[in-house]
Amino acid sequence: SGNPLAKWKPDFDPSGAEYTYLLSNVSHPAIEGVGVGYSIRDRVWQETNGRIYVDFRPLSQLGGEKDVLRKLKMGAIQGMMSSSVAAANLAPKLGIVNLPYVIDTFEKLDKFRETPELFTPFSECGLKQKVRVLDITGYGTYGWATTKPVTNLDEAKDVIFRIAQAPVNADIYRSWGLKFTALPWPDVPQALQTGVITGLDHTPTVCNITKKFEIAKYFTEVNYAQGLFIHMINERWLQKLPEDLRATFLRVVAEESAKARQRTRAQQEAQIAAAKANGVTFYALSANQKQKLVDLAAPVYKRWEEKIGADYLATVRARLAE
Amino acid sequence: MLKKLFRRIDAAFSFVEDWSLLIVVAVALLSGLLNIILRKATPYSLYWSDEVIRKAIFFCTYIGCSAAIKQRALIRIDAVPQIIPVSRKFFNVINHLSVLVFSGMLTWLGWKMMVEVRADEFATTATLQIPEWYFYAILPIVGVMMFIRTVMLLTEDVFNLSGDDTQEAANG
Amino acid sequence: MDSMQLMIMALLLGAMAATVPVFMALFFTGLAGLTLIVGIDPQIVIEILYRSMDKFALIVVLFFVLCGNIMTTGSIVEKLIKTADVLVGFLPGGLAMAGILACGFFGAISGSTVATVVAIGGFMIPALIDHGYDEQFSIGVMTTAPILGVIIPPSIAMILYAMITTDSLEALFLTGFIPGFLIMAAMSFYAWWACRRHGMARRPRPQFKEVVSVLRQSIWALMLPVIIFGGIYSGIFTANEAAIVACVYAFIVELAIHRDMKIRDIKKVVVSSAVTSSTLLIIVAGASVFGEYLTFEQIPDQIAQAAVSNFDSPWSFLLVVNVLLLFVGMFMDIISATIILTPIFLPLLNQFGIDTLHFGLIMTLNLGIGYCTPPLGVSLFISGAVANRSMLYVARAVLPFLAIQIAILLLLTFWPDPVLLLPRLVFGYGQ
Ligand code: NA
Ligand code: NA
Repeated sequence: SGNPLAKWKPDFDPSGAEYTYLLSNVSHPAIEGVGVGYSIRDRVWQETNGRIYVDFRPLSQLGGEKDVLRKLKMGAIQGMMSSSVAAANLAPKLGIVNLPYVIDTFEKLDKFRETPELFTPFSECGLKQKVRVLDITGYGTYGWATTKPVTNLDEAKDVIFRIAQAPVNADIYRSWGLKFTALPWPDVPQALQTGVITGLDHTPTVCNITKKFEIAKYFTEVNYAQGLFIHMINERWLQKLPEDLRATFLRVVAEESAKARQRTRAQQEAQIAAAKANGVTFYALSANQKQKLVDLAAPVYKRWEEKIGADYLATVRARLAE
Repeated sequence: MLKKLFRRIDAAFSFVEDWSLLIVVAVALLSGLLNIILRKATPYSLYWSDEVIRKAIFFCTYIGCSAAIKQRALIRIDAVPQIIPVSRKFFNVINHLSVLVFSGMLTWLGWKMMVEVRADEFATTATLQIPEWYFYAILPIVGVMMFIRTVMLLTEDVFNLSGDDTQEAANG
Repeated sequence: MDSMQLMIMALLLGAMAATVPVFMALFFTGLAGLTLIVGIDPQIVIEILYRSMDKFALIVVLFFVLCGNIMTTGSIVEKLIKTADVLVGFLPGGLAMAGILACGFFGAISGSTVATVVAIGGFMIPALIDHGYDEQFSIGVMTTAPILGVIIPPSIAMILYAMITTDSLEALFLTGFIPGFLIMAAMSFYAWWACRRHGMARRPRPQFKEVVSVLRQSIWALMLPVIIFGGIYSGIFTANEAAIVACVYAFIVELAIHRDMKIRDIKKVVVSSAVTSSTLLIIVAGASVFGEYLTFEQIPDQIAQAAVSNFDSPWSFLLVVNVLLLFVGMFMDIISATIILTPIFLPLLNQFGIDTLHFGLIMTLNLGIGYCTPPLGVSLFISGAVANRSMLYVARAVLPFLAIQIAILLLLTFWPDPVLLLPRLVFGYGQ
């Protein structure tokens, strides 16, 4: 086995850095949207001539997401690549990315990130709490990994899905009329194996890397949302940086995150191919079925537009649909 | 006089501790059970039962701590006083003083945190959307209860209002 | 480690030795490290105290403690002892074997050693002496057999271990059955041998009718482990949720079927269980504060690196760890030790390629033995109180049985297969 993080050790000695940026994430760096923490670390070190050290700690080393979010607000941790589900605890506007069929494709994600009209309100909505959103990376497109084939909504009704513990996800599944439960993630493997749950709401990349496909051998490409990590930073720490360093730092984070989004797309294709080679069957949902899911989710949009801002939601949906 | 006041405070604390623990455990047990049954038998699911149980654990642990002080049940390593019995009284006082410092800090830091979380309008629990400062508020409250309980124990022990044998921590 | 870090460790050990409650010793040293050395706002500890208890897996601690208390308040425990007695009581040394078997039955529904000593030992020690067993032997066997409470699942120590290592609790639980049976078999064999040597009279074999009647009375009690493990491994609920089902079942059996518990007992049982579980869980909270300091300083990593350069094989490492844990177990209870030491050992297991499930069982067994070792052996105190004997007397009484358990510990340390057999068969673990 060996230390899972050994191959990500820095090849420089960070002890002389003037500024340390402690960056947390709960997931595994084999996922491109997580591993970006290491590429940010290396390039920031290089381009600031060793003045800023990005001390990246994946795999929940600094605690669970709610835990780290509070530490981020307090400044005990300077940065966090939060799952979009947990990020909505900072400000409800951030929950826009969790709504079904809003930012559902890689293209829409890039467009959302690169259109200031859309991204700036998102980036600045947590400033009251001294937290700014710098960027977005991801782990692929959401669907259903199940133990029995699911090709349409009716077949999905027989499945007990495990979903993330967040109100928006519960809202979505309730409006779709599906059975769901919000088990903690560590309980998932055995729950799948013993049949406490028979389906999983997740992305192909995560299901394949964390070996969920060994039990749930069918994947329905619902493609209703992108799994995202929202890179958030403590604003006080950012403003403390000298202007030139800050500019370099921000530029590197943006460039590396954009590259990581491209790699995420390639990784998803590779992971799907690998899973298929191992005997996992993938099903696409028909356009008709997808429209049904959008229609059923009407109450979810209604409920969440109050929190997100009806105008902002409408603008985002309209611009991304163009 | 003092003894009577102590007895009254003690009775009030015990009332709050006992009943709140009973109710919270019962709610957690029932919501957990209902969730298991509903999940298997119906299309419904108590997606919030997990949260109720987690908050119940949090509540029981801290309120239980106040009760544990009264019962002298907090787990300690009393190897040294076992080996040197004459040191027992001295260590007993050390033990009480450390609890006083702890509960003081819990009260002060917990209060500051509660005020901060209360100002954060988005700090709500994940599924039921309950304001989180309610839960943070438990910490300073327990801090005060622990402090008062320990002051009463210390006075009892120092003035020998009751015997000084400490109960063994028999847990695990 | 630098001098500041060593000072923090010394502060922790000093505070614990000075009888500061374990969780506060952890809290104070963690706080000192976080604020004075790492330089973080002290308010961070409130967040840690809050979040460390905000975990679903901890439910099992509370509810298995509660389940144990319900069974002792009602008559499930008494029925388990009767069942064990009719099954093996007529063999040479049979009543002692019945005591061991009863610890096994009780261990399959209770998660703790102390609960098992109180429930079974409190009843069996006087019974053994009444039936002409040697007093020292009787105390010895009934003080040490309750280790089955933490070895045979459910086990509170394993629950906390799995939470830290993120191992599957269902799989970790499975590691306990075979070692549990090994302990029961070895101790029973010793009881048989010791009683034959002393020419103990055998009791008559019970009539078939008698066996059936006892089994019929105990059927509800015996169904409890069946429901717990059947439910977990057939996918009705998770291992964590099993604690809920066990409590509800025990309540129903004691209140409605056995009727040995009254409605008015409920409040007392629930409150005392909540307080007991609080004294355990608060250590988890304290250890989280201390653990936060360790994490910020990356101390487990440093220890791991130091250890790797000092041990050349997993075997020498495991041997040293066993000795260390036996020593720790002399002074510290299993919950505190599991919570404090697991995060430190975890990176080492990775480095040496030691299976985390295997190590979890070794650690639990090892620290479980600590309950019977002086100076701080909680089981020694309880048995001493039951038999009205000095600690020294009890400590001598447990020696042959401790030798048996340590031999099994060493066997399982260097031969992982019996430990990992069930997880492999049931979950295809590690393949
Ligand atoms: Na057990
Ligand atoms: Na001991």
